[in-house]
Amino acid sequence: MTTVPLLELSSLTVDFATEDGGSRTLLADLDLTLAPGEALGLVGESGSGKSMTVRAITRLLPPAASAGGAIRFEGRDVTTMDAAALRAYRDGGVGLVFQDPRAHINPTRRIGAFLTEALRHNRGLGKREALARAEAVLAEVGIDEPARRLRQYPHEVSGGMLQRVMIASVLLAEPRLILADEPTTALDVTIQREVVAILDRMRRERGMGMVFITHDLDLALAVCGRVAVMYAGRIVEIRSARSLHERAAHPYTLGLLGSRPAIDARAQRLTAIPGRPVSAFEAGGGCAFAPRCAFATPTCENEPPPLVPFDGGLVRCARVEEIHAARTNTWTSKEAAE
Amino acid sequence: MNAVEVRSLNKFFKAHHAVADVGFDIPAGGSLGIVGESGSGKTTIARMLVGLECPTSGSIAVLGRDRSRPARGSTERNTRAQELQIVFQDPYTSLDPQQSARSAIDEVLRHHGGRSAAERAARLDELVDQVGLTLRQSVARPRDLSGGQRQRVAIARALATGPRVLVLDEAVSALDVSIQAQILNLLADIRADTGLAYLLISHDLAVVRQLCDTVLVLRRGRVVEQGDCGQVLDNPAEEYTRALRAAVPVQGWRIAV
Repeated sequence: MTTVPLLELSSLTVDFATEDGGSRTLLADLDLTLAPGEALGLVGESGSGKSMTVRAITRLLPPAASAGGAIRFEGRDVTTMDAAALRAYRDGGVGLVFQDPRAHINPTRRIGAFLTEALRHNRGLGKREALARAEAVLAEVGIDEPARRLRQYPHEVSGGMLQRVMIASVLLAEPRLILADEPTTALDVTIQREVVAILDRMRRERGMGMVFITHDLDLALAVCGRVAVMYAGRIVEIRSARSLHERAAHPYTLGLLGSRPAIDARAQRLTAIPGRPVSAFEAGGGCAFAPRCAFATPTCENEPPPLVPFDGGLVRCARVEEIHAARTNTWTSKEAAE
Repeated sequence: MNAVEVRSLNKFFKAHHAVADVGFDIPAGGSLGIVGESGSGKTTIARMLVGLECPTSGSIAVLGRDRSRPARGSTERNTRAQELQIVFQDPYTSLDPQQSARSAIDEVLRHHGGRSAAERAARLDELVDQVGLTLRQSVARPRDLSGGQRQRVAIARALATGPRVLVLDEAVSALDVSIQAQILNLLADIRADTGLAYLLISHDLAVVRQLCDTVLVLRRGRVVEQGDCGQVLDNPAEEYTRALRAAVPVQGWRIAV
């Protein structure tokens, strides 16, 4: 393939300067490529660095944090963009949907003013045309009586409706890439389903790429074509969503799958992962997951494993082949016993 | 005798009918899950059971003793505290930031006393051990603990009064998946060991299935459906329960287009 990737992260690192002059690593060795129109899920627990990745991509890192490595959007280096290029990139290149829409909308201005601000300022549209366009997009994201909503204030509508307004505001800028950071975590499940369906439909219709960040592995699998599992600031496994349940190979991914209770049966006992998730700077020199891993050996604790191809995906585990062989064997012997 | 009996429970906030004619039983050692979305009234029910809200009408009995009216005097309040305790969603806001876990638990043991210093220390060690906290964690301040560890402290503190009923108000919702599994296993162990009854308030059907025998589906303050957990979730009789269930992402779940 010779097409330029939509987004390319290579050896991305983010370090955080501490008050005592030291520095803490939040993200390390992040390599990711997103094709135009592709949906990629970033899944992880607290401290895994998934939100920091989004912040780095948009150059919205906190002042104390600094990024290393390369971030290329349609082949252009984001880290070296000047103010004008960065403005254009944030206006029509990437669009952001956050977890809490109420924290990202001005409560004192009407929804119509919020939606048309960028159109009028950046695109030079007249008020009437901007409002007409906003109304059309609100209808597209499934909002009834869009004209009336434009005159309402954020506090007058529900959280699910406001999240649709946020999605509409992103769509109005016609971005090529949507970054959705836990966009449905604060919503009820029935509303989550609607919002996710809208994001998915809009993405397909407009051929946009999407990075979908969530702590919910099954949600990511439903929304994305490919899923990257993150732990302690690193990607530990990347795999197609279709094959992840059957082919997950990293002990952490397997642990995540076993931790989640099922809706259709009660587990005798959930296979909980011992300990707690750590951030990159808390991890030792070796594999960050080793202290919680049932398969860890002394080597794991000392040598950081690389991300290598395995069974159709990429896995960061030194013992992946042995673990896979052991699991396959137990299954075969189980089947034989039955 | 049932651990909890609730009959025709109603709560109005001004004109808003937050809880409408809700009734349920939890047998001794049983476990009921109340599921519903935002505004369904599930937390209001929990707050009425604990005594943080007063019902507009209806009755609540715990261990056969009525508690639908506010406690009169400290003896009654202490008795109620020894019957039923609550664990909230966010232990960071429900624990005193200045107080170590041991001190928070010991405070409860002192108050609900009758123990000698030696007995109290022994019980304290037992509780800390029961919820799986290490000695070092037990002397730490909440800010030095992770979310899961804090929730263990909150559970130990609740167990310190020796209650027969534990209300878990979204007690595992804010936790990371791997930690949530640990706490769910811990709660199952505690119930098996002590025969405590649970009332779990949750928006998460899978969590309810894992921890509860019976379930009550609540919508806009009203009971949509209630019964055996497996039965209701596998063969929902009501359209709303079906929709709720279908909206949960599971393996092979596809988004509606």
